[in-house]
Amino acid sequence: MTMIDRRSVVLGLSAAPFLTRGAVSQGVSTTYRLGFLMPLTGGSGKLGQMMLEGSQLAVDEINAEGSRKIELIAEDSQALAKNGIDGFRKLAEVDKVPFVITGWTAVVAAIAPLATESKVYLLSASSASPALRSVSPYFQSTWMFDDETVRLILPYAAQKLNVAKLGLLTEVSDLGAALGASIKKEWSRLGKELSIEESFQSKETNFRPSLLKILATKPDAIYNTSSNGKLSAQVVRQARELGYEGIFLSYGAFEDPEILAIGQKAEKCFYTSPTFDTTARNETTRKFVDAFTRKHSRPPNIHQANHYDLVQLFSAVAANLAREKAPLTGQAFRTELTSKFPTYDGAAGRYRFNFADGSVMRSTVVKTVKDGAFVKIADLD
Amino acid sequence: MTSSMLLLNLIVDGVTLGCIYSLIAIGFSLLWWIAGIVHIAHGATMLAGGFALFAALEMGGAGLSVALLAGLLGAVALGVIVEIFMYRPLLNRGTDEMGILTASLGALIFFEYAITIAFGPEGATLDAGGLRTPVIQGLPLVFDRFSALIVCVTLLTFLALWFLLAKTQIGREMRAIASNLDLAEVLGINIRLVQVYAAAIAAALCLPPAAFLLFNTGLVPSEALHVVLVASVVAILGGRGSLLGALVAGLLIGVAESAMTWRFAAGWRQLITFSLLYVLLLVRPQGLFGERV
Repeated sequence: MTMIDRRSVVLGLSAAPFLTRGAVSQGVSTTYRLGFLMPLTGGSGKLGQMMLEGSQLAVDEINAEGSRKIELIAEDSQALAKNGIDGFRKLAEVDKVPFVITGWTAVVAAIAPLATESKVYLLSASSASPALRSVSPYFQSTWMFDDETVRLILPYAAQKLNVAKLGLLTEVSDLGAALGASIKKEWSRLGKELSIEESFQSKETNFRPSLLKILATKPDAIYNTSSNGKLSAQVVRQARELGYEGIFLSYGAFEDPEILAIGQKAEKCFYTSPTFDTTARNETTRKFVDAFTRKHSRPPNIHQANHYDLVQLFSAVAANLAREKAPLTGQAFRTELTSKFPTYDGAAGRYRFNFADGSVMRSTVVKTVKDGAFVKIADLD
Repeated sequence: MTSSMLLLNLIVDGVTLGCIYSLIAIGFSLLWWIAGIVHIAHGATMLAGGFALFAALEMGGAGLSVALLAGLLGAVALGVIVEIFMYRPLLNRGTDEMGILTASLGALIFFEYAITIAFGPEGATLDAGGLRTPVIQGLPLVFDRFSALIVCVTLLTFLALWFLLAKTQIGREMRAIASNLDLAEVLGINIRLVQVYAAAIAAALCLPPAAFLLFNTGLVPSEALHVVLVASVVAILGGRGSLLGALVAGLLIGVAESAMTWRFAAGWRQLITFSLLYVLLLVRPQGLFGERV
């Protein structure tokens, strides 16, 4: 499927009139090229497209201001390691970008050594696996790793949702394995019973045998480790068809349009997500929410806010380097980011970076699906 | 749920899955038997039927009966086009079995791409809704009305095909061609026309499994090759030209795949399919119900 996989979209052109005006009036001479290596098709494609909307809005805003010009170059990883490597090589070697927004554990794990070698900085708001800790000095996550979120949602599930027996459905993947290990460790620490662990291949579509096995142990909740919205939707739908009325637990990747497509069957699903309140009064969030709503005629979600913030963070670091008359290279970006940005306040809240291992801490909430929408039900910290 | 009840549920679920496997395989088996064609493009024909059904239901807003007709037309049109415009010219030029197989694989990839471009790589899934309620309420047995429908349609389809082959003129002609092509030609049978009919029937047989997959686990364009792989394994296991063989082999694989999760991780399910095939090829190379050549 080469035609689809290698689809490359050069974005930011819609802002051309603003760019020209800015270049003339404020003397812009540099174009910053920014890579966007995310799934734009495939099972996670809708989520990737959604994230692109957030990043694109930030690019449009920065280009319209005129002081800097950003060209966003998108490559479709389909959330697959092989496609990720192809896309990264194209971005690093052909497009010569110093900085790439990327995501999904398999992709990040595959391209991290290449990023280290080529000194291209990777920022990700969609990689949840704790296996990515310290994967590269050129990688920083703005999405909390799931060993952290597991430590938040499992006590909540035990105390507030009265979950005593947990079934674990693990995807055979880097993320699935790391997340499964974190869940087992935390659930055991809480002194609770893990009724069963079942695994499935990432291309599986028939979950009924696995689910029958899990349901036979009568769990109060099933933790689904899949990061693929379409697969998660299939798991929930097929479990409901088998008569399971219990709880599903998951994490941020669960907030995917594919989940809403299964309607009421998606209710009683609970997942963690970084705090993002579209009604927040701080100026950054309000400005983003207003602009996004104006452009798309709908309010933004957490993924769009996260990816808006990534571009704004890139722009802030690049502006610092420009003031210092330093060239924008991956190495310079890393030095500037790690020395001047221990925290960052973006549209999606405050990011507290741990540059030692590439992780981040953010305030987190529990969300669920209600009346066809993802809604917050509790703060976790 | 007790362990034995779990096994029973897995077997029941495996029967449903096996029925779908049998339905996928029977069209493949028919063309292999009658025309000697290893019809790899069968996977694309099934997708064409399924996505035509999906398009009519979801995009066209058609009712189920009209959508099923659209699905049938989509599958039959593609099956006949492949037969007339690809297999026939190649066979007329004396292309051998490997050449036909390669061309069929090419057709599968071509149509898989076409369907991907038209509908996207994510594929399509529809909800069976109220059909997903148990046949008998209150039992620990997981057997819903959708599963019952799959079993009934499978049995009816196989009965109808048996009737067509055993009791109708076109069926007799098909069997004559499969038995001895030269003799059938001497007897005045229009080989070309009968093979087109066979291709149309094989394609039409794709509709039930396509519809069941659409309302069950979903249809994904990139699954076309996997679909035809399952069909070929079932056809080989069942024995060339054996209707009963295709039904039994499909059920055997479905039940084995599902039941093995009783003791092993589900991720290893497909290992059982090819293990069964290997063992059978060792002990009974003509398949379960095939005749030794």
